[in-house]
Amino acid sequence: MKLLRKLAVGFLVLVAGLSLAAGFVAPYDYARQFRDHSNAPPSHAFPLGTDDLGRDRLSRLLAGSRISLLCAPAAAMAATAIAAAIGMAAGYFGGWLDETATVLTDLFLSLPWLFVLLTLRALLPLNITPWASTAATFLLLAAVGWASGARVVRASVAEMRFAGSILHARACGCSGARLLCFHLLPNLRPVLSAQFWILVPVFLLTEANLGLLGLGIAEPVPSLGNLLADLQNYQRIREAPWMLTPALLLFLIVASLHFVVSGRDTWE
Amino acid sequence: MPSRRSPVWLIGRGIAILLISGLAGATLVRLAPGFGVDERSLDARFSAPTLASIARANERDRNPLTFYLGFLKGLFHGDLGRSAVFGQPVGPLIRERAPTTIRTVLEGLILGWCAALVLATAAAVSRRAVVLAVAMAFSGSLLSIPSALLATVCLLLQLSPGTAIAAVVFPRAFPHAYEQVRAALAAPYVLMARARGLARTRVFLFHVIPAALPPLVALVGVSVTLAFGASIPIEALADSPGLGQMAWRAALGRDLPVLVSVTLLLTVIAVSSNVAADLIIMHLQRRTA
Repeated sequence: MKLLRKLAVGFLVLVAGLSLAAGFVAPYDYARQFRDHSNAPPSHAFPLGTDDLGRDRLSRLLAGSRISLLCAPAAAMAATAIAAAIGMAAGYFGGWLDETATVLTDLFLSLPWLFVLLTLRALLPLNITPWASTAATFLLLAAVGWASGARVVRASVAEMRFAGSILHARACGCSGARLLCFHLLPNLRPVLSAQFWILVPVFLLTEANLGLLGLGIAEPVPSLGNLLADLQNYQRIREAPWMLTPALLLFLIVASLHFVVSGRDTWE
Repeated sequence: MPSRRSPVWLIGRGIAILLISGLAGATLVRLAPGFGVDERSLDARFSAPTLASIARANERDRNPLTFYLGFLKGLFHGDLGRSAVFGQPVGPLIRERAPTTIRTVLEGLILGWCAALVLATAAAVSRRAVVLAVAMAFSGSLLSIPSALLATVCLLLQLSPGTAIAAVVFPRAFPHAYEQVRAALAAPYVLMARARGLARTRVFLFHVIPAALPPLVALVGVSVTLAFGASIPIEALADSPGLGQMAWRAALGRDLPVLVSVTLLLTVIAVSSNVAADLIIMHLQRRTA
């Protein structure tokens, strides 16, 4: 199992490296169209073929994985920060703040994520630029995905609140803000780190679902999600199986993340 | 004040969540692009007093509080607004499509949970590393595939949309089911029952299952929300005429009354199933205590 985990880490490092260096590694610009070669099969010039508009699939895959691999962790970090702020305030101060935060958390956990994302996405204007749609998609993910983390943080802080070190600091006259920032927050690092790594694959998968439905990042900017939108025309998969490459890459990335980070005990 | 584990608290919390969801829904409708714009005001056939009356009616809706109260009142009377994409009232649309989604989700939940329980029991009872490794690998693989892609695979294999929902539910249910069955099998009273010579089936039915059940019931509540969430991409890709497909088309057409109503309906279902799961757990715990 250690070998498999090392392989998963190696794969993630390789994909991250290649996608970050997409500008140098990719044969063409992701938006460049070769009108005479639309829907071309894999060849020496186009290793993964081309799409309906004649764009090189490999270049788009590299650029798309860069966007997804940068934005999903950024959104996960934002969601973890929101979870930390709400969970810490609720767990430390208690009372009505705790009650309100608990109801808010329960509300967010009860909502069907994808339906909420579709509703919020529908509020955005029609003429939104591709980069604004990228930011909006991942910001929406962060805004919706903080609840489970907040619940875990709240429970940890409520437990830590009566720890000897915290009681001692309070007795020494340490202010609430200082206690939260310099005493509780460092102790929450393992919990926050776990929440962050749980959210990264979840956000990658959610973005993929939105992209496959045509409601994710707007064209021509590629992402692992909107590259899957071709699969809506699933009858073509049998004659052009290379269309599945983004799906395969996404599967391997998410499986590696699960394997390396959150799911290692499960897999073992 | 009732205790946090009392039925009154659980039901009260559920109602509070639903009221907040209603207000959030009303706010979204209120903020939607084009809210308050009435195309009748451009119709030359209407007289000045009629136009003034339309403007007054729209002005009432501009007051957020009046709008919230009107929205909630409408909800209680089944008036969910009118869909721009489908060109008909939202209420009948939901009534028409809900059975398809409920059927698909139920099929998926039953299939997913049965598969998870059977595999978890087989892995825990056999104690063979190979069985567990295969089951975990299968579950982990399904967990790494977006539900929309699972729907595509099911379409390619000519399987029903319910199977795709089962593939979403199974990997979330299996690890928990396995852990609960394994822990219950290792409990001292189960070992004692086996040492006293009770039949394996009897031990499993009357000692293992009652111990493993409460945490799994809680998970059933969560899996209902999960299954309804997964129904959007699955129904959209499978062209199944349910609520998920309707929400997808509404999202493409920016039809907020439909989206808000469907989200609220599913929140009601999710909150009710969570409250029901909590009440069942309380009942089961009282019985075992």
